[in-house]
Amino acid sequence: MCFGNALHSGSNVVLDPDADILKRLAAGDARRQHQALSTLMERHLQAIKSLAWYMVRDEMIAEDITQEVFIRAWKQAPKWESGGAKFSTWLYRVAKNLCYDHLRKRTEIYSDALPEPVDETPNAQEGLLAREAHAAQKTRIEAALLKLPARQLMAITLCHYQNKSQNEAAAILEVNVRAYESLLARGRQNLRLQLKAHKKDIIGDLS
Amino acid sequence: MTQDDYQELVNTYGVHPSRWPEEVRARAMSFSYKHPERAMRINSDAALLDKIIDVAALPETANSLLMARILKAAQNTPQNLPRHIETPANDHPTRFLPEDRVGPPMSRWKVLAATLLVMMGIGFGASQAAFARSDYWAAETLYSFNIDSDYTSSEWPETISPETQQ
Repeated sequence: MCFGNALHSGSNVVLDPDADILKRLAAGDARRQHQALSTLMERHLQAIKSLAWYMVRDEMIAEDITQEVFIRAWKQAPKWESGGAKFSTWLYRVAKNLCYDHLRKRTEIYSDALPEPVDETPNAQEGLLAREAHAAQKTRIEAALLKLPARQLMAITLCHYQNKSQNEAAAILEVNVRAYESLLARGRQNLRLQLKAHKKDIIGDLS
Repeated sequence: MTQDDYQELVNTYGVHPSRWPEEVRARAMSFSYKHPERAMRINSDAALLDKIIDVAALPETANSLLMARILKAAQNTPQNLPRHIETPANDHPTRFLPEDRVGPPMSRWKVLAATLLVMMGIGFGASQAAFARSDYWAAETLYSFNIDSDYTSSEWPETISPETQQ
Protein backbone atom coordinates (compact mmCIF):
# COMPACT_ATOMS: atom_id res chain seq x y z
CA MET A 1 0.00 0.00 0.00
CA CYS A 2 1.24 3.46 -0.84
CA PHE A 3 0.18 6.12 1.65
CA GLY A 4 1.49 9.10 -0.31
CA ASN A 5 1.53 10.29 -3.90
CA ALA A 6 3.09 8.04 -6.49
CA LEU A 7 5.61 10.61 -7.65
CA HIS A 8 7.96 12.63 -5.55
CA SER A 9 7.98 16.41 -5.52
CA GLY A 10 11.24 16.53 -7.44
CA SER A 11 9.23 16.47 -10.63
CA ASN A 12 6.89 19.26 -9.56
CA VAL A 13 7.60 22.93 -9.97
CA VAL A 14 7.83 24.57 -6.58
CA LEU A 15 8.77 28.05 -5.45
CA ASP A 16 12.25 27.84 -4.03
CA PRO A 17 12.53 29.64 -0.70
CA ASP A 18 16.31 29.86 -1.14
CA ALA A 19 16.22 31.50 -4.58
CA ASP A 20 17.08 34.99 -3.29
CA ILE A 21 20.00 33.77 -1.24
CA LEU A 22 21.34 31.84 -4.20
CA LYS A 23 21.23 34.93 -6.38
CA ARG A 24 23.27 36.81 -3.78
CA LEU A 25 25.59 33.86 -3.40
CA ALA A 26 26.18 33.70 -7.12
CA ALA A 27 27.00 37.33 -7.79
CA GLY A 28 28.03 40.48 -6.01
CA ASP A 29 30.95 41.51 -3.88
CA ALA A 30 32.70 39.09 -1.57
CA ARG A 31 31.12 40.54 1.57
CA ARG A 32 27.57 40.07 0.27
CA GLN A 33 28.40 36.59 -0.96
CA HIS A 34 29.71 35.57 2.44
CA GLN A 35 26.66 37.04 4.11
CA ALA A 36 24.51 34.96 1.78
CA LEU A 37 26.50 31.84 2.60
CA SER A 38 26.07 32.55 6.32
CA THR A 39 22.31 32.91 5.85
CA LEU A 40 22.19 29.69 3.88
CA MET A 41 24.06 27.91 6.66
CA GLU A 42 21.79 29.37 9.33
CA ARG A 43 18.88 27.85 7.45
CA HIS A 44 20.24 24.45 6.58
CA LEU A 45 23.49 23.66 8.38
CA GLN A 46 21.92 22.07 11.45
CA ALA A 47 19.69 19.83 9.36
CA ILE A 48 22.49 18.73 7.04
CA LYS A 49 24.90 18.14 9.90
CA SER A 50 22.38 16.11 11.86
CA LEU A 51 21.55 14.05 8.78
CA ALA A 52 25.24 13.27 8.38
CA TRP A 53 25.60 12.56 12.09
CA TYR A 54 22.71 10.08 12.08
CA MET A 55 24.25 8.30 9.14
CA VAL A 56 27.83 8.08 10.45
CA ARG A 57 27.40 8.70 14.21
CA ASP A 58 30.66 10.61 14.36
CA GLU A 59 30.81 14.34 15.07
CA MET A 60 34.00 15.07 13.16
CA ILE A 61 33.03 13.12 10.07
CA ALA A 62 29.56 14.68 10.13
CA GLU A 63 31.19 18.12 10.21
CA ASP A 64 33.50 17.24 7.33
CA ILE A 65 30.54 16.06 5.27
CA THR A 66 28.60 19.21 6.13
CA GLN A 67 31.53 21.39 5.10
CA GLU A 68 31.81 19.55 1.80
CA VAL A 69 28.08 20.00 1.14
CA PHE A 70 28.23 23.77 1.67
CA ILE A 71 31.45 24.21 -0.27
CA ARG A 72 29.81 22.42 -3.20
CA ALA A 73 26.79 24.70 -2.85
CA TRP A 74 29.13 27.69 -2.82
CA LYS A 75 30.96 26.51 -5.93
CA GLN A 76 27.82 25.61 -7.84
CA ALA A 77 25.67 28.59 -6.86
CA PRO A 78 26.36 30.58 -10.06
CA LYS A 79 25.01 27.66 -12.10
CA TRP A 80 21.77 27.34 -10.19
CA GLU A 81 18.55 28.14 -12.05
CA SER A 82 15.29 28.29 -10.13
CA GLY A 83 12.05 26.69 -11.26
CA GLY A 84 12.31 23.01 -10.39
CA ALA A 85 13.37 20.90 -7.41
CA LYS A 86 14.13 22.88 -4.29
CA PHE A 87 17.69 23.85 -3.53
CA SER A 88 17.42 22.31 -0.07
CA THR A 89 16.54 18.98 -1.71
CA TRP A 90 19.75 19.24 -3.73
CA LEU A 91 21.70 19.95 -0.53
CA TYR A 92 20.22 16.86 1.10
CA ARG A 93 20.99 14.73 -1.94
CA VAL A 94 24.63 15.83 -1.90
CA ALA A 95 24.80 15.06 1.83
CA LYS A 96 23.14 11.69 1.27
CA ASN A 97 25.62 10.73 -1.45
CA LEU A 98 28.60 11.83 0.64
CA CYS A 99 27.28 9.74 3.55
CA TYR A 100 26.83 6.72 1.30
CA ASP A 101 30.39 7.21 -0.02
CA HIS A 102 31.69 7.37 3.51
CA LEU A 103 29.77 4.28 4.62
CA ARG A 104 31.11 2.36 1.64
CA LYS A 105 34.70 3.27 2.43
CA ARG A 106 34.43 3.07 6.18
CA THR A 107 36.79 0.87 8.07
CA GLU A 108 36.43 0.38 11.76
CA ILE A 109 38.25 3.16 13.56
CA TYR A 110 38.53 2.98 17.28
CA SER A 111 39.14 6.18 19.15
CA ASP A 112 40.19 6.51 22.76
CA ALA A 113 37.37 7.81 24.90
CA LEU A 114 38.14 10.66 27.24
CA PRO A 115 38.00 9.68 30.93
CA GLU A 116 34.77 10.61 32.69
CA PRO A 117 35.14 13.33 35.33
CA VAL A 118 34.63 12.00 38.86
CA ASP A 119 31.34 13.07 40.44
CA GLU A 120 31.69 13.90 44.15
CA THR A 121 27.99 14.41 44.99
CA PRO A 122 26.29 12.07 47.58
CA ASN A 123 24.24 10.13 45.01
CA ALA A 124 27.14 9.90 42.66
CA GLN A 125 27.32 6.09 42.69
CA GLU A 126 23.62 5.71 41.92
CA GLY A 127 23.73 8.38 39.26
CA LEU A 128 26.81 6.83 37.73
CA LEU A 129 25.15 3.43 37.46
CA ALA A 130 22.06 4.94 35.86
CA ARG A 131 24.20 6.89 33.42
CA GLU A 132 26.24 3.81 32.58
CA ALA A 133 23.10 1.77 31.95
CA HIS A 134 21.69 4.51 29.76
CA ALA A 135 24.97 4.88 27.89
CA ALA A 136 25.18 1.13 27.32
CA GLN A 137 21.63 1.03 26.04
CA LYS A 138 22.23 3.98 23.76
CA THR A 139 25.40 2.40 22.38
CA ARG A 140 23.47 -0.80 21.66
CA ILE A 141 20.74 1.08 19.82
CA GLU A 142 23.23 3.18 17.87
CA ALA A 143 25.10 0.03 16.84
CA ALA A 144 21.84 -1.55 15.69
CA LEU A 145 20.98 1.55 13.65
CA LEU A 146 24.42 1.59 12.04
CA LYS A 147 24.00 -2.05 11.03
CA LEU A 148 21.01 -1.14 8.87
CA PRO A 149 21.53 -0.82 5.13
CA ALA A 150 22.38 2.80 4.32
CA ARG A 151 19.16 3.52 2.43
CA GLN A 152 16.98 2.15 5.22
CA LEU A 153 18.89 4.19 7.81
CA MET A 154 18.50 7.27 5.62
CA ALA A 155 14.74 6.68 5.36
CA ILE A 156 14.41 6.35 9.15
CA THR A 157 16.54 9.46 9.69
CA LEU A 158 14.50 11.57 7.28
CA CYS A 159 11.18 10.41 8.74
CA HIS A 160 11.92 10.10 12.41
CA TYR A 161 14.65 12.61 13.21
CA GLN A 162 14.13 15.17 10.46
CA ASN A 163 10.33 15.00 10.19
CA LYS A 164 10.44 15.24 6.42
CA SER A 165 7.21 14.74 4.52
CA GLN A 166 6.87 11.64 2.35
CA ASN A 167 7.38 13.62 -0.84
CA GLU A 168 10.43 15.46 0.46
CA ALA A 169 12.04 12.30 1.78
CA ALA A 170 11.36 10.42 -1.45
CA ALA A 171 12.82 13.32 -3.46
CA ILE A 172 15.97 13.32 -1.34
CA LEU A 173 16.34 9.56 -1.68
CA GLU A 174 15.60 9.90 -5.42
CA VAL A 175 12.93 7.20 -5.29
CA ASN A 176 9.14 7.27 -5.49
CA VAL A 177 7.00 7.41 -2.34
CA ARG A 178 6.15 3.72 -2.50
CA ALA A 179 9.84 2.78 -2.52
CA TYR A 180 10.52 5.21 0.32
CA GLU A 181 7.76 3.65 2.43
CA SER A 182 9.15 0.22 1.71
CA LEU A 183 12.63 1.32 2.87
CA LEU A 184 11.13 2.83 6.00
CA ALA A 185 9.08 -0.25 6.89
CA ARG A 186 11.99 -2.61 6.24
CA GLY A 187 14.33 -0.38 8.26
CA ARG A 188 12.02 -0.41 11.26
CA GLN A 189 11.49 -4.14 10.94
CA ASN A 190 15.25 -4.82 10.78
CA LEU A 191 15.85 -2.62 13.80
CA ARG A 192 13.13 -4.45 15.71
CA LEU A 193 14.72 -7.81 14.85
CA GLN A 194 18.20 -6.66 15.83
CA LEU A 195 17.06 -5.42 19.20
CA LYS A 196 14.76 -8.33 19.92
CA ALA A 197 17.32 -10.07 22.09
CA HIS A 198 17.69 -6.98 24.28
CA LYS A 199 14.01 -6.14 24.41
CA LYS A 200 13.64 -6.81 28.14
CA ASP A 201 16.57 -4.56 29.11
CA ILE A 202 15.38 -1.81 26.83
CA ILE A 203 11.77 -1.98 28.01
CA GLY A 204 12.97 -1.91 31.62
CA ASP A 205 15.10 1.10 30.95
CA LEU A 206 12.52 2.99 28.93
CA SER A 207 9.54 2.39 31.21
CA MET B 1 -9.37 2.56 6.83
CA THR B 2 -9.16 -1.14 7.67
CA GLN B 3 -7.23 -2.60 10.57
CA ASP B 4 -4.63 -3.97 8.16
CA ASP B 5 -4.14 -0.52 6.62
CA TYR B 6 -3.73 0.99 10.07
CA GLN B 7 -1.24 -1.72 11.05
CA GLU B 8 0.77 -1.10 7.89
CA LEU B 9 0.75 2.65 8.45
CA VAL B 10 1.99 2.32 12.02
CA ASN B 11 4.60 -0.27 11.07
CA THR B 12 5.93 2.12 8.45
CA TYR B 13 5.74 5.53 10.14
CA GLY B 14 5.42 4.77 13.84
CA VAL B 15 2.63 5.92 16.14
CA HIS B 16 3.04 9.67 15.99
CA PRO B 17 0.35 11.17 13.70
CA SER B 18 2.64 14.07 12.73
CA ARG B 19 4.77 11.57 10.81
CA TRP B 20 1.83 10.04 8.96
CA PRO B 21 1.14 11.19 5.40
CA GLU B 22 -1.38 14.00 5.30
CA GLU B 23 -3.62 12.12 2.87
CA VAL B 24 -4.35 9.33 5.37
CA ARG B 25 -3.87 11.09 8.70
CA ALA B 26 -7.52 11.96 9.29
CA ARG B 27 -8.73 8.47 8.34
CA ALA B 28 -6.11 6.79 10.55
CA MET B 29 -6.97 8.98 13.52
CA SER B 30 -10.62 8.26 12.96
CA PHE B 31 -9.84 4.53 13.03
CA SER B 32 -7.99 4.88 16.33
CA TYR B 33 -10.92 6.81 17.88
CA LYS B 34 -13.45 4.29 16.67
CA HIS B 35 -11.41 1.23 17.70
CA PRO B 36 -9.24 2.36 20.63
CA GLU B 37 -8.43 -1.13 21.89
CA ARG B 38 -7.39 -2.45 18.51
CA ALA B 39 -5.39 0.70 17.83
CA MET B 40 -3.67 0.49 21.21
CA ARG B 41 -2.72 -3.15 20.62
CA ILE B 42 -1.26 -2.25 17.23
CA ASN B 43 0.48 0.83 18.61
CA SER B 44 2.22 -0.82 21.56
CA ASP B 45 5.06 -2.45 19.62
CA ALA B 46 5.58 0.49 17.27
CA ALA B 47 5.55 2.94 20.18
CA LEU B 48 8.41 1.08 21.83
CA LEU B 49 10.40 1.20 18.62
CA ASP B 50 9.75 4.96 18.35
CA LYS B 51 11.08 5.39 21.89
CA ILE B 52 14.13 3.31 21.07
CA ILE B 53 14.88 5.46 18.02
CA ASP B 54 14.43 8.58 20.17
CA VAL B 55 17.07 7.35 22.62
CA ALA B 56 19.64 7.54 19.84
CA ALA B 57 18.82 11.15 18.98
CA LEU B 58 21.54 13.67 18.25
CA PRO B 59 22.80 15.56 21.30
CA GLU B 60 22.75 19.36 21.12
CA THR B 61 25.88 20.76 19.53
CA ALA B 62 27.09 24.23 18.65
CA ASN B 63 27.67 25.08 15.02
CA SER B 64 29.43 28.45 15.20
CA LEU B 65 32.93 26.99 14.80
CA LEU B 66 31.84 24.84 11.89
CA MET B 67 30.21 27.84 10.18
CA ALA B 68 33.40 29.88 10.58
CA ARG B 69 35.41 26.98 9.15
CA ILE B 70 33.14 26.71 6.11
CA LEU B 71 33.23 30.47 5.47
CA LYS B 72 37.03 30.39 5.57
CA ALA B 73 37.12 27.42 3.20
CA ALA B 74 34.71 29.18 0.82
CA GLN B 75 37.01 32.23 0.72
CA ASN B 76 39.74 30.00 -0.66
CA THR B 77 37.48 28.17 -3.12
CA PRO B 78 36.66 29.68 -6.51
CA GLN B 79 33.09 29.37 -7.72
CA ASN B 80 32.21 27.49 -10.89
CA LEU B 81 31.04 30.07 -13.37
CA PRO B 82 28.22 29.07 -15.72
CA ARG B 83 29.01 28.34 -19.32
CA HIS B 84 26.64 29.84 -21.83
CA ILE B 85 25.24 26.65 -23.26
CA GLU B 86 21.57 26.56 -24.10
CA THR B 87 19.65 24.03 -22.06
CA PRO B 88 17.29 21.83 -24.07
CA ALA B 89 13.65 22.58 -23.32
CA ASN B 90 12.95 19.06 -22.11
CA ASP B 91 15.95 18.90 -19.82
CA HIS B 92 15.79 19.47 -16.07
CA PRO B 93 17.00 23.04 -15.89
CA THR B 94 17.10 23.39 -12.15
CA ARG B 95 19.58 20.83 -11.09
CA PHE B 96 23.31 20.94 -11.16
CA LEU B 97 25.14 18.73 -13.55
CA PRO B 98 27.31 16.29 -11.65
CA GLU B 99 30.93 17.37 -11.61
CA ASP B 100 32.12 14.27 -13.39
CA ARG B 101 29.83 14.88 -16.34
CA VAL B 102 30.92 18.46 -16.80
CA GLY B 103 34.10 18.99 -18.78
CA PRO B 104 35.63 22.15 -20.20
CA PRO B 105 34.20 23.08 -23.61
CA MET B 106 36.32 21.75 -26.49
CA SER B 107 38.35 24.41 -28.21
CA ARG B 108 38.02 24.90 -31.98
CA TRP B 109 41.38 23.29 -32.84
CA LYS B 110 40.49 20.23 -30.80
CA VAL B 111 37.24 19.84 -32.71
CA LEU B 112 39.17 20.25 -35.98
CA ALA B 113 41.78 17.68 -34.95
CA ALA B 114 39.11 15.22 -33.84
CA THR B 115 37.23 15.64 -37.14
CA LEU B 116 40.45 15.14 -39.09
CA LEU B 117 41.25 11.99 -37.16
CA VAL B 118 37.79 10.59 -37.74
CA MET B 119 38.00 11.36 -41.45
CA MET B 120 41.43 9.72 -41.65
CA GLY B 121 40.04 6.71 -39.88
CA ILE B 122 37.13 6.46 -42.29
CA GLY B 123 39.48 6.88 -45.28
CA PHE B 124 41.83 4.20 -44.02
CA GLY B 125 38.98 1.83 -43.34
CA ALA B 126 37.49 2.40 -46.76
CA SER B 127 40.81 1.82 -48.53
CA GLN B 128 41.38 -1.38 -46.56
CA ALA B 129 37.96 -2.58 -47.55
CA ALA B 130 38.58 -1.72 -51.18
CA PHE B 131 41.94 -3.49 -51.08
CA ALA B 132 40.40 -6.58 -49.54
CA ARG B 133 37.66 -6.44 -52.11
CA SER B 134 40.17 -6.11 -54.96
CA ASP B 135 42.13 -9.10 -53.60
CA TYR B 136 38.96 -11.05 -53.58
CA TRP B 137 38.18 -10.19 -57.16
CA ALA B 138 41.71 -10.98 -58.27
CA ALA B 139 41.50 -14.40 -56.65
CA GLU B 140 38.07 -14.93 -58.09
CA THR B 141 39.27 -14.06 -61.59
CA LEU B 142 42.26 -16.36 -61.32
CA TYR B 143 40.07 -19.14 -60.01
CA SER B 144 37.55 -18.77 -62.80
CA PHE B 145 40.35 -18.50 -65.30
CA ASN B 146 41.78 -21.80 -64.15
CA ILE B 147 38.53 -23.60 -63.97
CA ASP B 148 36.62 -22.13 -66.82
CA SER B 149 39.42 -21.40 -69.26
CA ASP B 150 39.70 -23.12 -72.56
CA TYR B 151 42.73 -25.03 -71.49
CA THR B 152 42.24 -28.71 -72.11
CA SER B 153 43.98 -31.61 -70.52
CA SER B 154 45.77 -32.25 -73.81
CA GLU B 155 47.44 -28.86 -73.58
CA TRP B 156 48.87 -29.42 -70.08
CA PRO B 157 51.49 -31.93 -71.19
CA GLU B 158 53.11 -29.22 -73.25
CA THR B 159 54.31 -27.65 -70.09
CA ILE B 160 54.87 -30.54 -67.72
CA SER B 161 55.36 -33.65 -69.71
CA PRO B 162 58.80 -35.29 -69.81
CA GLU B 163 58.83 -34.88 -73.56
CA THR B 164 58.52 -31.22 -73.24
CA GLN B 165 61.21 -31.12 -70.59
CA GLN B 166 63.53 -32.98 -72.88
